This record gives sequence, structure tokens and C-alpha cells, in this order.
Amino acid sequence: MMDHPVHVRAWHRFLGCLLPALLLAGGAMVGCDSVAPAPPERIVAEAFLTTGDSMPEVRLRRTRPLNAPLPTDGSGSALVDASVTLTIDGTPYPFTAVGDDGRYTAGAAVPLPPGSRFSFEAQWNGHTATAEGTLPPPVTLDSFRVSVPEAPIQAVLFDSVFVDPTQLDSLQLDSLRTGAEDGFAYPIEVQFWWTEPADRAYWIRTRLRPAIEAGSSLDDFFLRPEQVQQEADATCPAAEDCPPAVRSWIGVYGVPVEDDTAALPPHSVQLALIRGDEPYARFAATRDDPPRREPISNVDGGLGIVTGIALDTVRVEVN
Amino acid sequence: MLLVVGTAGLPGSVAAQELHINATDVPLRTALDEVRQQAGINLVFADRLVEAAPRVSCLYRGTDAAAALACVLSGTNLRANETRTGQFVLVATEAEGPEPPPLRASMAGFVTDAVSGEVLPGAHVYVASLERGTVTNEAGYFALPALPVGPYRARVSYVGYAPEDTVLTAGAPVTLLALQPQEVQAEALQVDARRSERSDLAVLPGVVSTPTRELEQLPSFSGESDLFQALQWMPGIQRAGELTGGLVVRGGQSDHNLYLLDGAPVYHPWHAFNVVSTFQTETFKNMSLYRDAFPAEHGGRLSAVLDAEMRDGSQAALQGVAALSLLSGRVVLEGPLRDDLSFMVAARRSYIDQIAGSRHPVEQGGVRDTLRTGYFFYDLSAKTTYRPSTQHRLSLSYYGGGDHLDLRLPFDLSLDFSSWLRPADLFFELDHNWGNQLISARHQYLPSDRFFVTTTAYASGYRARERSLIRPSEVSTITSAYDVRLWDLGAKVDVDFYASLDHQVRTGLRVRRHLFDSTLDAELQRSPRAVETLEEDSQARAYELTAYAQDTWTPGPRWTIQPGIRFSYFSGGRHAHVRPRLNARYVALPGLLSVKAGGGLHVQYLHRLRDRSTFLYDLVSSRWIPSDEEVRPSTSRHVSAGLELQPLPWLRLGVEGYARRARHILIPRDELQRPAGLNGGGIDTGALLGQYAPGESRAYGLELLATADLGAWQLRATYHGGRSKSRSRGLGEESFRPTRFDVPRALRATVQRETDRWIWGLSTEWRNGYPTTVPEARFVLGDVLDDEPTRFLHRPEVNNGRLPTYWRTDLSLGYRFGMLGAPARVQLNLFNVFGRRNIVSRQYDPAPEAGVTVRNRRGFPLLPLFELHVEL
Repeated sequence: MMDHPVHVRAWHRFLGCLLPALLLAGGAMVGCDSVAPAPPERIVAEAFLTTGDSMPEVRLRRTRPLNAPLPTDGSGSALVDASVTLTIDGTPYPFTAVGDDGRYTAGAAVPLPPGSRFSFEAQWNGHTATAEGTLPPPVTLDSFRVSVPEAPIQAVLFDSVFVDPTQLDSLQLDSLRTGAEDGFAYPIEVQFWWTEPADRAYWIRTRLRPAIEAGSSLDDFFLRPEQVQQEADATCPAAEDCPPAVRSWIGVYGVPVEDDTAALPPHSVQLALIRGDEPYARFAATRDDPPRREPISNVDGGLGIVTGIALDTVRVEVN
Repeated sequence: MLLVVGTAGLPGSVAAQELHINATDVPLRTALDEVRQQAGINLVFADRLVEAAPRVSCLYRGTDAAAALACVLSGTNLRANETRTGQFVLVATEAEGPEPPPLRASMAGFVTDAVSGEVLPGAHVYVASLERGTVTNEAGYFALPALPVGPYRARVSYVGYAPEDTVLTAGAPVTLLALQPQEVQAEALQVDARRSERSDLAVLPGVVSTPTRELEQLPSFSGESDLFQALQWMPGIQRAGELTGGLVVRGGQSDHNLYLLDGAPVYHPWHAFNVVSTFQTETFKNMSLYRDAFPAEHGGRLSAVLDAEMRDGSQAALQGVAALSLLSGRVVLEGPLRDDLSFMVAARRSYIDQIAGSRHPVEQGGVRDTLRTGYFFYDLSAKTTYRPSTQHRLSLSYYGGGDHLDLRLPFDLSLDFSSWLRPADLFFELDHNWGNQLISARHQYLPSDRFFVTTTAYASGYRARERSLIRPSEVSTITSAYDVRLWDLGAKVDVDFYASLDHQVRTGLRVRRHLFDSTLDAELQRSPRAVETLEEDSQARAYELTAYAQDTWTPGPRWTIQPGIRFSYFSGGRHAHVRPRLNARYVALPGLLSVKAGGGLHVQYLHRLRDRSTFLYDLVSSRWIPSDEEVRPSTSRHVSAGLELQPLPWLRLGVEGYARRARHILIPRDELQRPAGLNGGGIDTGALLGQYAPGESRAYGLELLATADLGAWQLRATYHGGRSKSRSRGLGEESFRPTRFDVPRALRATVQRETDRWIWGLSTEWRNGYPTTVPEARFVLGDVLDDEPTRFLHRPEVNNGRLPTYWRTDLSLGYRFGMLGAPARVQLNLFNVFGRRNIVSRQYDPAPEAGVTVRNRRGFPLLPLFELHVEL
């Protein structure tokens, strides 16, 4: 056997100990993370304090495990034994549960003037959820115009179970099917006008909600039935001569029909105009993709939305 | 008696002779005769001096007759004086009386490839009698200063080349040393202890520096000669996607890497939607990838710097390579234009558009249309090098490359292609092109044998042009014109000063001008009156000034210590940083074990961001945002340490640990956000930054590397265990969570065997799946305008789960043959040979009543790919 110098033997001993230790460390220090156990149930609060109205109804629910049934009527997730307080301009108002679907009311008709500061607190099972905000100035849909084309136009229609364009496999590459086909539809234009308050720090949500049968539809991707934007950006079209404080928005929704001779199916459409603060705008802009993400909450210690809004809606019959 | 022995050869031809002296313990006369015959010189000497001299040994290869004589006379008391060209007189050294104080001078030279004449950066020159070595710089130059004048036995070695034992003379003019390339083939391959190591970088931990010839042996998707795909076989380096995506180095972000081509930065080094890179291995003579520990001359990024040098072009003969793969065809040509001028030209282009056609005229019912299905990418590289003397060397490099996507298609696509071929009333058109262009001029100047000055000036540009026209109905039209332009104009001077045997100083200065422009001009006509117009532009300008100094200190034969410091100033926001770094190597057991450690600080002034909300623009572009008063530069600090062992001549083992902490990085505010519509935040920098939040990250890990070089067999196995986590307090994150490409464990292995005719290889990659965000609960929430509330999935934490393990095995089989008298090779690559459908992303949908529906996106199945490769 070869006789190594002392320092070589020392290094060999060092390596003999160090290397196995490094290998063990390499495996151990990087242990895989795994999905955490199911989190404790959290409070889900829902309340829209509307300027000019009286105290709103508060809905309290809780999160449920993934495999638990979750009917949308609230059964199974409603919280009926929570302590709820809404404070308006420093005055607390206790809320009490009504029914078994998680609804809470103040029991008194308290008006909600614009500019009121509010804070919300709900306690349940050791959890506390809070939110706060300010009620915006009222909003009124001053006027609107609905424009219907005389005949349907050719348009690309999408299967109603279509696709997430960002997911390659959902494009069904085996068949290259995109879920699109050419069809016919009536694009309905609706224009709103309203007046902006002096305080221009608000956001506006505008929405057209037609009552038409589901099925193939003109995909919203190319239309604009809804929009959330800063109110100052809702300017009148260039061709119009609007007064300085007047804001405008043009929305479009589509009504698919069988062919180019079909008449427009009579239906109604709800026009909605909501003024709110930035937390409400974030909530409204992120609630349209339930599979991918949940709406951004403004509730500390819980989920949901408790916010002040100003709202005006109109239902229009379209023939 | 004086003897004059000579040849009839002309003295003028002496210098051109290739000498190969291999004498072992022979009489001096015999060795002198050998030199005389090979060199064609005249020798004059006293017979008694030669007969009284001891027996000699000498191994010399080169062209310098004086050096060859010094080699054979080494160990005797004789030396050779050249009296006129081609004639040498041997004299006794002690006959000259009292020895004067020894004169001191440098031993200096250039190391080159004996076949092509390419200079070899990083070659090792070791003088055993001094127990000192040095390495060549990027021009292949080395210097050992302040040595007593005289001959020294030296060993010159370089990765992939046969080491050369020679005699170098301190005080002699700058020498040219030519190394013979080793054949990386079959049984001819020699085992070389330094085969995978570039000596000049050995002091830095985390460096991957490999000659092109070795990189070409590593498996590459589709046979493309692709640097980035080869790098994936190194530990701690992975692609963000299965075949696409940027490089993730030790858990860093892909925009934390700097890619340099002949000293100029490349801002978007990708083609084909990030499938292949713009870096073709065949066009480079050398590349170095620094992970965490950069030399002081490099900086501006937090994770890694890739420094690639284009080939100067062969000085010997016209030669080249032509290849055809499934993706592209390419050709590389190089050769001499004159004795002092060489060139290299390379071109590559994808050709699927040429086969499938890119324009399709159609007619139906008297209506004509032209559908378009065009896509191609291309590269053009060129370099010319002029060497008027050993003092001067000028090179001019050009790279231009890009992608062009040109589509006009109906919406209702299907596999029945004939159904497309009709005039499309409703259609979408995309006309996107993007790419890089750079030009770099470099002057290398040797004012004295102790100073080497490299001056580089470059202009590097990136531009992307996105044009979209969508007609989803008769009354709606969407048009968009989006442009991104980036220019980086720079000049730098690097000076190598060979101060002493113990100290080699490198210092430099760099000035850069950054110009960023982007414009968006879009019109969204959703109906006759619902028209939105977007006209935005964004501009940013900044200067960057950098100065650095670094000393490579060799206090003894076993220690190398490299302290460095780098100062940088960025005019945007007036940020100034001083970033120190320190690296060291200790050779514990020469030839067996060395230990390395390093640490330092880095700063990055540029951030690559994209609008994550829209389909209208930012689809193929890279957009860089400079730091300013609002956006702080990202900073990092790192430490790393490792061991390198060579327990057997054919086996190398490496272990390295690292840790890095970065601050002020930008993290998406909503990791789950994907483009969902046409409206985006706009291209205003503030709007873009609004989608991100400042955060911090940390990464640590351990890397193991084993390479076995058994002649025809080549084995390489790497293991990486580590974590990469981040958090943003601005997003309410108190604890760190896994980053998007955090991979706790990854194992990769390749086995290759080459014979004269056949090459086959098997490679496999096993790693943990990427993190994914798994919902943990469900809830119901309503909206003021809705009658029915909506079910949502609750994801309290980002990246709280992990996709299933990724495992893929590729097989390659190559065959060498002659084609029209030229060596050729055909290769078949089977990507994912077992057809394992790895899950590469996952989506969760809330089921109507209970539970969730999991939708998996799977990776590529088995793909057979080929390449034909011909040497011209």
C-alpha cells in the first residue's frame, strides 16, 4: 500500500468524513415542500354600503374544505352565530342574524350619506374580520342610448365551454380545434352618460347584463359588456361635445342568431353604473375568472368585500 | 578543435520549421544533431565542450530554434548565441568571468491552436522550477514578469488540447506557442486531468467554462448546435419550461442573467418562442458561465454572466460546417484572407416556411384572399480579425438575428387544413418580428510585455415590432402597432498589468448609454361607435459608468486569492454602488484536491417586465425598465464554496454549496394573473410597474458533479439540491415562499460512447416538479349586481404545492460517414424516448357541488428529430 505523507492522510480522513456529510446535507436541507394541511376556516364577508340607501344587509359565510358541498344558496357555509358590528361615522350599530343563510341586518334604518366613514367588524369562533372605507358621492345614470343594427352581422362565435387561450392543451391541439366558428349576431351598443363629482378620485364600473339564453355567444373577448376604469378616464367619444363634468361609456354585447335573416330576439338588458373606491375596483376587476383566482379582498382577517359604493341601474327592453 | 556543422537549408526557412525534439538521456551531440537537422541551422561549437557535457533530455515542440537549443542545453553549462540568422555558437557559461547580477525580464507569449491559429484564452503556462503558473487572457497572451533572464522548462496546457512541454526564455521576444487539439473521438482520446477546467477561472467557484468542442458533445434538442441547451446539463441550470423559457441559474430569475457576445450584451438571446437560443456553439471558440461569483470586470446582473467569444476564423485554411436539422439549416465558414487577416461567417435559418409555404392565395365565389402561415428565424454572425503584428490585434464582430411571424388565418382552425383555404371574412393577422443586432470592435494592444490593453466599443440593439389586425365581426376591427426598441452603446478599456510573479492586476473602465423606447398605437373598434384609441409612448435614457480593479494574488504555489472591487454609477435615479468581491482557491493536494470559496455583492439596474394582463401587445417582446428615483436597483450578496477532487485520472468530482440573498427585486403582484382580454395597463412605465411589487429572494443549494472520461465512454452526472424562495412585504407576505421555478432536487446524467463510426448517447433528467398554487378551500361570494353568488377557490399561499416529478430520457444515435469526400455525420435524436407525458402545469376548476376538477397540461411526447452535419 502506498505510504502517503501525513497531510495527505489527514486530507483523506477529512474527505472521508466531509463528503458523506455533504451528500446527506444535500438531500436533507432541501426537503420538498408539500401542500399544507387544510387551513382553518375563514370568515367570508359580503356587504355593499350604498350611498343614499339605508344600512345594508351583511352576508357572512365561511370557507369550506375542497371536498365539502358548497351550494350557492349559502347552506353549508353560512355563519349564523357571528358577532357583527358596523360603525358609521363613529356610531357602532350591532347586526343580528336573520334566517339561517348568513344574513345579518342592523334592525334600524340608518341612512348612509355620501362621505360617511364606516368600519366593519365580525367575530366568529376566535376569528376577527375587519374592513373600512368611505361612501362615495351618489351616481346617476343621466341618460343612455341603445343602438341596434337593422340586420345581424357575421361574427366569430365561441363555444360557451371554450378555452383558456393561455393553456395550450385547452386549445385541444390534437384536433387544432379552437372552439370558434363563424355565425351571426346582433351587436347591441349601449351608451351611458353621467356626471362626475368634484372629487375625481373614484373608479367606475359599468356593466350591461342582457337576459338572453346561454349557449354559443359572441365572446366577451372582442366585445365590452363590462368595464372597470378610473372615472376620469371615461371620456366622451371624440365626436361628441360633452360638458366638462360629463362622463360617458359605450358598451357592447352580442345576441347570437341562427342566420343573417333572423330577427333580434326580444330581451331586456340591465344597465348598471357603480362608483367605488380602489379596493372595490380591484375586487370587481378580479372576480371574472373563478377557476384561476379569487377576487382581491379588502377584508383584513378574512375574505370577501365590504365596501361603499354608489349605484344606479336601469332595465331596458330591447326589441 | 572548432567544429562547424550545418545543412544546406536556407537560413531564411529556419523560422518556419516545425520542430519536435524528443530526447531522453542522450549524449548532447545527438540532441544537437537532431535540432540541427530539424531546424536547418548551423552550429558552431568546441568539440571538447560538447563531449564533456552530461547526457541531456528534452521534449520540445514549436518553431523556435533558439528555444529548442535552450531546451537541449538545459542542465549543461553551455548556451547558444545566435551570431547571424540561422547560425548559433555554443559557449561555456562559466568562461565569461564573474557572473553579473542576473538581468530580469518577462517570459511572455501567445498560446494558439496549432491547427486553426485561433488564440486560446485561459491556457495554462506552468514553470515547475518556479512553482508558478499563469494563464492566458482573452487574447491568448500570458506573461511571467521579472524572471532572471534565461531558459525555463514550461508546460503549456489547455482544455481539450494535448499539453506541451517546452522551454521558454525569459528576455526573449514574445513567443507563439501552438497546441495540438486532442481528438475527442473514440480510442484516440487521451485522458487529461484538466480536460474540463479552464485554468484562469479555477479560482472562481461556480464557473462553467468549456470549449465549444466539449459543449457540442452534450445532448441538444433536435441536434441544434445550441449553447443554452448544452448548459442545461450543468448542475443548477435549468430551462424555465420543458423546451422553452429562459435560463434559471441557481434559482435566480431569468432576467438576472447577462449574456455577452464578444463583450456586447444580448438582450433577447432566444428564437422560436424561446425554444432555441441565438448562441450557436459552432461559432464560438470559448464560453464562460459565471454563476454568482463574477470576476470584477463583470457585473450588472444578480445570478449569472455568460461570456461567449466568437471564433476569429482559421488562419490555416478555408474550412466550414454545414448542417441541417429539423428546425433549421446552418453553415459556418472560416479561413484566412491574408496571412494577417482571417474571417468567420455563420448563417442559420429555419426553413419550415419554405416547405409548408407562407402565402396561400385562395379564391371562393369570386372572392380572393391570401392567407399567411409564415414563421422563420435567422442568425447571421461574422467576425474578421486583423493581426498586423504581435503588438496589435483588431477584430470586428457582427451579429444579427431575429424571428418573423406572419399569420393571416380564420378563427375556426381545425386539422382539416383544406377548410382554412378559403377567403376569410373573419380572421386575425399577426405580423410580429423581433431580434437583436450588435456590432463590436475590439483592439488588443501589447505596449510592453507587462501591459496588455483591450479596448472594446459596441452597439447592441434589440427591437420588437408587433402588428395585429383582428376582425372578429363585420363591424369590429382591432388594430395594434406596438414597438420596443432598446440600444446599448458602450465602450470599455481593460488593462492587464503583470506586476510580479505574485500579482496580476486587471483593471478597467466602462461607459454605457442605455436608450429604451416603446410605442403603442392601437384602435379597438368593438362596434361602430365603441372605439378605443390607445396612443402611448415611453422613453427612458440612462448612462452607466463602471470602474473595477482586481488582483490575482498568488502568495504561494497552493494559494490563489482574487480580491476585486467594482464601482458603478447609474444616472437614472443617480444610483452609485461599490461592490467588493473576494474569491480564493487552495490546492490542498496537487492533482487531487482543491478548495474554492468566494463571496461578493452585485447590483442590477435593469428589470425585464411585461404587461401581464393583455393579449393586445407584449406578446413576443422583452421590455427592460431602467432603475430611477422610484425603482431601486436590485442588489444581491452571495457566498459559495466547493471542493474539486480527482481521485482517479479519469474521474473528476465536484461539490459546491452556495447561498444568495437578493433585495429590491420585482415580484408580480398577482402571480396568478394571465392575459385575459384586450385591455391592458398601457405601456406607461408606471402602469407596468403597478403590476409588480418590490420583494426579496433567497436561494441556497448544494451541487454535485461527477464526470468520467474513459476514452470512448463519457459519463456525466450532476445533482442539484437547493431552494429558491421569495417574499414581498408589500404584498403582505411575512414568510418566504417558493419561487416559480424552485426545484429542490434535480438529477441529470448523460452517457455517451463514440467509436470511429457510431456515436450514441443516453441522457436523462429527473427533478421535482415546479411549484404550483393549489387551492386549499372553497367559498361563495356574491356581487351587488348578481342574483347568484359565485364559487371561488381559495389559495391562501402562492406556490404552496408542487407538480408531479418530471422525468425524461432522451436517446441519440449518430453515424459518421463520408459524403462527397467530406466527413459527415447523421444523427437521430429521440426526445422523451419513453413517451412519458410529464405534467408541466396544472389548473384547478371549482366543481359545481364539491371538490375541484384538475386540468393538467402535459409536456411533449416522444419526438423523433434528426440532423445531418457535414464538414466542408
